[in-house]
Amino acid sequence: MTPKVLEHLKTDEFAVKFGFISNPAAVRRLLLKSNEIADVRRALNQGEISEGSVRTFVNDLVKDFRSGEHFPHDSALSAIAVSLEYRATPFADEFINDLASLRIAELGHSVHIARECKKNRKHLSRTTTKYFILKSKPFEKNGLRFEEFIVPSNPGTLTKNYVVNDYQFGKAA
Amino acid sequence: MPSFEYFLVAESASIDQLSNRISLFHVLEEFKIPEFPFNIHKLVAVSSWNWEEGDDEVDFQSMVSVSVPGKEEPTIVTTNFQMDCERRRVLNYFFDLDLECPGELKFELLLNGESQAHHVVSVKEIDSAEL
Repeated sequence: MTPKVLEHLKTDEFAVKFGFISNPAAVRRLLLKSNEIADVRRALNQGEISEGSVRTFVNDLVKDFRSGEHFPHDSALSAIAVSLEYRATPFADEFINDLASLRIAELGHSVHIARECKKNRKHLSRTTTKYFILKSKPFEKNGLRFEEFIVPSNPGTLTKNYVVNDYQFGKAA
Repeated sequence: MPSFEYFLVAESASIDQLSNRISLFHVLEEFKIPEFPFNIHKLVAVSSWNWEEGDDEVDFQSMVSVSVPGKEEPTIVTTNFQMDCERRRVLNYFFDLDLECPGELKFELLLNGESQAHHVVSVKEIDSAEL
């Protein structure tokens, strides 16, 4: 079941509130001040809804896409973009960047609003993280002796990458 | 080229998903080690860079050179990034660092090959009775 705060974004009542303004920057500002966006942000912050449920909601919206017809949930997409704008998460990046890069006539304001959001996200501090396993002593693995090596790895799959990358980055003696 | 803001080595770091604020835990100053060799399970080198005019769509490479006491050659790791934001943090986690003897554990930060900062951790041998 779609959470109430998201479901409301699909309503005509919500769409007509912002539909008459043509300037994407102005729509974004209005959305930022709206109670509906505040509710979605609060729900995300407090864990009432997850980014996963937002993704599911968006996937459901996209099912109503028809080529050559105006997309009926354009306002909802705009609202999601503005709701995610301040979040420094991979999902927020993916959603806003993907929407901002679209060039299809069926979508109206949402693409332009996503571009506004993308511009404003430049103010967010961003983080690049890399993982390395270091060994200064000779080390044996899979029958190979490694004199020294650096293994970049992902935190969740440390063991898997450790083995795979031995061959790529290690120096076999 | 982005301007350098800070460089620190700590036991761990955390970024709050909600506020996007970074916290560093236990900034490293010295290790007191009763017996060598000693294995440091995990540490993190954190650097921060500020966007400057002309940085858009340019690839930058930060390097952290790790000099371990008793070892002649430093280990160098690289991280590529773009300044698509006003401030970029680079977190380099290191696992399984072996210390063989006392001395200086030195982390040097370079950007596109130019030295920017360093962080030195003293590695001292102490009597286990002092622990």
